[in-house]
Amino acid sequence: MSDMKCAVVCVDDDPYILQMLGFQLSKIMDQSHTLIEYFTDPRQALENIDLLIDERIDVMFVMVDYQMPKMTGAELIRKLKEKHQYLKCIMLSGQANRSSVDSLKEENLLEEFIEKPWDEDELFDTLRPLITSRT
Amino acid sequence: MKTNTKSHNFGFRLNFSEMKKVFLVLIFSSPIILFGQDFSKQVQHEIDSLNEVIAKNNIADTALANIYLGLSGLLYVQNIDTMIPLCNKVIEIAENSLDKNPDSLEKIAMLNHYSGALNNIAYVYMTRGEIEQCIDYLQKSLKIYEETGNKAEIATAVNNIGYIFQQQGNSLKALDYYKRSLEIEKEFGDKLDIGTSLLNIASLYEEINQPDRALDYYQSSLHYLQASGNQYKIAAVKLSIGDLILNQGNEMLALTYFFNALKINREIDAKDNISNCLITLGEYHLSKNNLDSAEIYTQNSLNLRRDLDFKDGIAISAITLAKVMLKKDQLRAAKNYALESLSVAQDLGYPRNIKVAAEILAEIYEKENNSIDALRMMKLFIQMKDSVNIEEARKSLQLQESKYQYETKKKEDDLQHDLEIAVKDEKIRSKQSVTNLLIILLSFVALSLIVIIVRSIKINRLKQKLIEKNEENEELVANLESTVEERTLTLKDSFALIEEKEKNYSDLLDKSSEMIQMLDPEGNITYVNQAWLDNMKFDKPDEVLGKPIVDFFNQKTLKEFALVMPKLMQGELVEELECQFISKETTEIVLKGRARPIIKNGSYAGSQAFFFNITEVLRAKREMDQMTSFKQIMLNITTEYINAPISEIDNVINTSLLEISKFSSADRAYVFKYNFEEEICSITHEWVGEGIPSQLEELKAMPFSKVPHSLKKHTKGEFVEFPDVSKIKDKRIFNVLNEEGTQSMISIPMMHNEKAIGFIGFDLMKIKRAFTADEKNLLWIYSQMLVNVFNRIAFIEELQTTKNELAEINLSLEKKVFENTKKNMDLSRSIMEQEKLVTIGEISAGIAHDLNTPLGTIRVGADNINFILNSLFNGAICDFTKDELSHILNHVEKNRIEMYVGGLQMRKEKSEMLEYLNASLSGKIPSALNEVCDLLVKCRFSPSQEEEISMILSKPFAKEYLQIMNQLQMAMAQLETIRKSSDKAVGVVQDMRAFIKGENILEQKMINLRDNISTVLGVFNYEISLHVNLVFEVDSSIAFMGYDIKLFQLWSNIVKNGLEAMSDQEDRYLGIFAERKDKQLKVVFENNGPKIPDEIAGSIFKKFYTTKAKKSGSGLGLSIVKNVLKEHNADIIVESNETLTKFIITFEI
Repeated sequence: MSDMKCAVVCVDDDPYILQMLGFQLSKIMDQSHTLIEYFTDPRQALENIDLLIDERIDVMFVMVDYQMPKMTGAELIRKLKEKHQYLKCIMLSGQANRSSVDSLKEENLLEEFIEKPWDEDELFDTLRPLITSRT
Repeated sequence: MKTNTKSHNFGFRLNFSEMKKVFLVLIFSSPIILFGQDFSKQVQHEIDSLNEVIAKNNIADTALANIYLGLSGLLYVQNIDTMIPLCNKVIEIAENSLDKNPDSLEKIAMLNHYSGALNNIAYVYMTRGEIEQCIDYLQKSLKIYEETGNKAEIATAVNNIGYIFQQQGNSLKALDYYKRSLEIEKEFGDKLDIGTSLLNIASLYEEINQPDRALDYYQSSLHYLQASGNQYKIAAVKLSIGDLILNQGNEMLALTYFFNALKINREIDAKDNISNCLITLGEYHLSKNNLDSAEIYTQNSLNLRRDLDFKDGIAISAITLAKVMLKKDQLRAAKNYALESLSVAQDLGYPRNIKVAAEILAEIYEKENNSIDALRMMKLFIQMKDSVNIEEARKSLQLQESKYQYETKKKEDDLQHDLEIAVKDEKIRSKQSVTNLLIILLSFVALSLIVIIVRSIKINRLKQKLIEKNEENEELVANLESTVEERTLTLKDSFALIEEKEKNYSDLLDKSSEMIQMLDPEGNITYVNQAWLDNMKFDKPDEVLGKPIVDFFNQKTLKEFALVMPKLMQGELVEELECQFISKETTEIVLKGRARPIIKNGSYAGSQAFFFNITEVLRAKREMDQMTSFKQIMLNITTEYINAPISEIDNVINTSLLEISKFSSADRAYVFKYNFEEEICSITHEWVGEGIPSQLEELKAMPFSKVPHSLKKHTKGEFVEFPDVSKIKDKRIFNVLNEEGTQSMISIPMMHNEKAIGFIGFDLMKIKRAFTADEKNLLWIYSQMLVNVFNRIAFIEELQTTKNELAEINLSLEKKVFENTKKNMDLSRSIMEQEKLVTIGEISAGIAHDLNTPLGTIRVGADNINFILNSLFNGAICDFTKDELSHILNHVEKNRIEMYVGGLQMRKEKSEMLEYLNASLSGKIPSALNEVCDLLVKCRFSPSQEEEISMILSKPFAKEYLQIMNQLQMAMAQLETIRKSSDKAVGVVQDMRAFIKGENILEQKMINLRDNISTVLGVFNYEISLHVNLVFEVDSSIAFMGYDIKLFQLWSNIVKNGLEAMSDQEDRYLGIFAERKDKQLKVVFENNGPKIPDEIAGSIFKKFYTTKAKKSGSGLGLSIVKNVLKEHNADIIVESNETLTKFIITFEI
């Protein structure tokens, strides 16, 4: 398993979004070196990210949906950044949550913001720099 | 009329602001125009600084004059009385200074101050209405300016004079001055001043009703003003132009001007003009009948004007608002506004507004049926109209018209009023009449009973007496018998003595009170005693002696005599003999006694009889019996009258006439009614015996002149009685009665309230007889009974009429109630619609998200499928046979996989698979083992599926085979995602539809409580799923009859209310529980929002109550809740404390 050096993590309470996202990510990720992890429960995501980092796998970025039950994406990002200051976070969200997204950005807690629904090219444009910078 | 008022408002408004400007411009060389809330602050500041300067010594006269002038211009706002003293001071300083021949510069300055002071004094005179003084000062001021040659000031002064003339109503002169001013301004070239002058001319043209010219001038004024950049005036002109254009009918353009003006005014915060724009818009909407908009605009303008204390404006806004409210049928509000407007207008002495206010108030009072105040207002209205209108003819015409209207209205009102009173009286009277009737009838029954009891006591007494007398008689007879026997014995014993004492004996007989008679064997009378003669009304014995006794017998006695005689002749005594003799006066006398034969020498020698006259006793007894049965009849009749229904009364009367007639031997009985208006009496009921002709037809309308005697007696309450017609002395009466064959008659008046309303009469044709006092008493009672019966009929008829009227009133009331109910229903329906729209607005963000997410997913899915198809057809698909492909497809169909398996998991599975493959293949390792293994994991094969795996691996293109399988699996998963997402989107739309869906058809149906509430939660899904800890514990078996849409509204209002209440807190909890017990269903909505204060909890369900005025909501929500609950026979309780707020709804099901 030593060949697995990197990982990306997707968190969304909607499994179908994860499915879509996963498919799209698989198009631009070299899966021989990169793990793509999916979580519908933010708490599970928190635990597993810790696990990955413990395994010294480089988590390239975390894509988080804003609107989730139990914990919002903003809360999740705050918690992640508390522990892993350099973790790159990308927020997926509808227009409605623009204000809390903005406040996250102002606090430098957010690398990118992708508006739902997203365009594939746009998604790739946003993600590519984050990927290439690693490999 | 409306346009007049409006254009007047306009003229006034402009003039108002113009006037200020005019004088302020004059007072300060650099104009300061003060508006808005900073006004007083600025003024105060100015005043303070000026006072400061005055306090310093040694300042130049010019400066001092300038300061005083400035102060006068500032202080007049607070106290106009300061103006003249201050200006006089300026004049004093100026005159002193001018006397000293100052240098030219100072002279000009002084002259300017001098004329400024004159101008300001003129202003004071203007406000006091002393126009001549005002013009005088203005002219003086103008003269000085002309002296100094200051064209700008000349123009202003000329303008001001024009303004005064305009105020005076002298439009032509005003126009003259304005145009002069304009000419000078043009020379001078100040765009603002030219614009202002043009504006003044325009407003004047508008005032004198030349809108086209006014518009031209306004337009050119606008041109200059725009060049000058004075936004305040630009806005004012735009408003005026808009108003004129509106009158020309170009609404859209007019509105553009209005909004433009409003925008400018808002920008420069010119509150007075904002209020002008608002009222114009308000009036526009009022004219279009957009009452809600009209109310908002007018209300805002009124509020603004109240803040500004702009009295004229307040009067206008308030009256416009009153008109709006009147149209909205909110009389109370309309009245309050109209009264406010009236009082302000009266304070100001503003006749046009007083007039309008009075008109509106009159209408309101009329609607309130307050005709006194309506009249007062109408008078005020007319008065004001008088002062407003100059044309005399028109004035009087309108006066006439409104008078006529008022009178008509008044008449209607009076009529209505009378009718109401009448109906009320009628109700009372009918009640009373029934009560009276009952009392009368009861008292009559009591009276009859008393009479009957008294009578029967009397009868009993008489009976007692009779028995006593009988006993006495019998005793007497017995005594007498014994005496006679004794004497007979004595006679027998001492025959000699008999001879001797015969004379004594006959004396004794003579003096006996018993009637004694003696007959010879042939039946001729040989002796009668004095008592016999007395009873038989004879004077002397000679009249009867020797006559056969049978001559005195009646027929019956004659027959009996034939039986009695043989007994006597055989020497028997005949006891208990009853017979009837006919007296000298041919009256029958009933006798009771006994007879005995006289035997001489053994042979029959005649008879002797002893009688008592019992005629009177019998007659009394008979009369008593008769009275008893008469009373019985009367009692029966009375009972029948009381019991009989009104339709049967005529029959009862006829029957009673028959019974009374039969009893009193009458052959005809009748009831007449008097009609005093037409002076006739008419027969209403009649009974006739056999063979007696009916008079029912011919006596239907008998003039009073034919019955003067009866009428006279009856009106006095007396009976008319003729016991013997043959003895009537009045020929006329005699002839009438005799002709009919009447022998005796009696008629009894029917008295009501001491007035004869008719009479009852009885004619006797076959016999003659007088009615006894007792009979007459009973007949009197009978007549009164009939009176009561007739009254009862009349009352019942009246009652029926009243009932019908009431029913009619009720019907119309019901109709009104129905109409109002319908109106209310429509209203509440539209309110519900509105509330629904508000709710939709509030939750639209959530809806947008709920729609956006699945739609986005669908899109991405489509892209992905596109990608997959591309790679599929560019890949190795063509290398496989149809069988192989269908096998792949079959596998994919059967093994749906999840696409989002994490990398860690995949890694784990792959190592397991690799292990398995290495073991099972034992050396026959395919070329690309790693890739194949990867694909097997991706296709979600597990090592347990040995058979399938070995089948695939046996293929020459195992890798490509797995690739195609994986791609197809992915495509399937994407399709599934698209399907689920579109379901989700459809679900959102359906929830919305359920919420919006029309509810005109409201039918109760079985409601599943959980489903119904779930739909609501679906609508609020966005907010709830995101922020709220929801506990939803409602048993899915609970169902009851209800209106689903309304219940939907109910839940959504409560949920919405709860969500809004919790919107400011982090931790949000919403609990929904239901519990069913017997026939009660309890639904609880609880949240951890802030406590509802006790004083609010009480009014929370009132209409339009809202604590979230600034946030959202019309305050209708919880009142809708209340209505829905009412329709479901349910109750709601609010329990609120610091930790929980509970809405507990209880349904009776």
